[in-house]
Amino acid sequence: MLDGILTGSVASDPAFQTVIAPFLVAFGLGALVRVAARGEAGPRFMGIAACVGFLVAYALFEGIPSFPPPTSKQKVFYLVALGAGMGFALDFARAPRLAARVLGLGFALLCVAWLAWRPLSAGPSIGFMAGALALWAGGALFLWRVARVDERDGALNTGILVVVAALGLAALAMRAASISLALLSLALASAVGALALWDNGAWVVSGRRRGFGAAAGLGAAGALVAIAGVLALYTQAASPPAMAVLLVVAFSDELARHLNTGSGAPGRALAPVMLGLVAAMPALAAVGLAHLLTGR
Amino acid sequence: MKLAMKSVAVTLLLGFLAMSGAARAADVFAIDPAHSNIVFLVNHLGYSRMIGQFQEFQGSFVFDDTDVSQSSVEVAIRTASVDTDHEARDEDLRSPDFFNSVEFPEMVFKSTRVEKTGARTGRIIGDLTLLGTTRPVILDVTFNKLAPHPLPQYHGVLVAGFSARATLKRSDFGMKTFLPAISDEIEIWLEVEGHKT
Repeated sequence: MLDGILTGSVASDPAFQTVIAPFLVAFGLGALVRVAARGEAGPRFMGIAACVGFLVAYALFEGIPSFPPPTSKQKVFYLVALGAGMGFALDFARAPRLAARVLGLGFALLCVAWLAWRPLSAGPSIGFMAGALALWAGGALFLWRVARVDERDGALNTGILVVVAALGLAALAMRAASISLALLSLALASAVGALALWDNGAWVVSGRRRGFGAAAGLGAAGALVAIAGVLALYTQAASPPAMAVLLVVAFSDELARHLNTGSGAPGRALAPVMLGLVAAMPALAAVGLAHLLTGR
Repeated sequence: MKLAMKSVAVTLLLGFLAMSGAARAADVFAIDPAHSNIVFLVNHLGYSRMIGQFQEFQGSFVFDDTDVSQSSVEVAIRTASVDTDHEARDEDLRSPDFFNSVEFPEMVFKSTRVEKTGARTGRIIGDLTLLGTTRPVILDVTFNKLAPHPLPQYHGVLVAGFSARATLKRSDFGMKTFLPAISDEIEIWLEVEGHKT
């Protein structure tokens, strides 16, 4: 907020750009989609709101990058736009859920290959290739899990996992001396959080689950893969073991489902809180491991 | 007798010029990093200008003192060598937030045109490639000195020295983090010595 006070413009404040703005855009656009699209279509298309919220935050914070984007951080913008577009097409066509899962594998590969293009085309070392492959495997696994959780538990639980993973990634980015990547991760958490909040209302009140959708699955969760890619490939203090531990967040639902939070509305209200707490454990462990390994 | 004396004088003069190693047209000089500095100044929140420099760079310039327009310069700067005398800040500067040193290990300046603006001043127009983006940059140059090095261990190598100033906008190169708190305009100071190769 200091910058906003100094310049007299709140809109230029990083906190507004990366936390408040994406939340407001995602929440507002989600409401608009819900109202404009009738019946089941509203909730089905709401996932795109999270992607748009992130992209707006990116545009406010970094500006819309030129195309083709020369840097890996600028490529994140277009990767998210592409993921959101592909996912929206799947949602629109009511494609089978398996299609989103399979497309996620390919999208993770595209993310890593494009982000790593410069060193790959210059003749990479074996170590770099191994790192890129590990990154793809981790990204593909994350997107697969997001789609899987969405199929089984809907938007709220999926959103919680993505939000916690994004917050964990923000902490890792801060430790790797990249404040901009940390703020972009926060923007993602904020945008997806708005989506999860929408679904939380429906879940608590009616017990009905809505889908996270392929748009959010590829676009928003894909943003996490892309940001993690830039962090892993191009920051000198990034900790690969810590990022691997962060991946465990995507499996938190498997543990959380064994916790009995009771029935009825109170139980439904408590369940996402418990999931958030369970998911926070590996996220905190990742940050702690990064601190131990990097000394930052 | 007069003719003989004139011949001797001319010979002596030519010999003197040869010994002094005066620059012929388009001599090539290797930049001496030990006696050159690439410094930048950037406004920090309006309180002060932070000073930093790059410690590792290499390049050369062609200097034609008879026709400056035939001169040129090319220099590659290792971005990871950024130094603001504060290790944590330098790590920030090497990150994707700013110079993105792992993805872009070098920035390169290559002149496209050199113009003379005064007896000892000129402008070097060239392209700076930073973060994968190439933009024109204009350096205002002052020619300081061209003479053999006075210390015996340098064996009279010809040395040319210049000072230059430039201003550029980091956002032109896609470096937009923390604008405008960290200023967009960056002032560049160059003090360069080159040894004739």
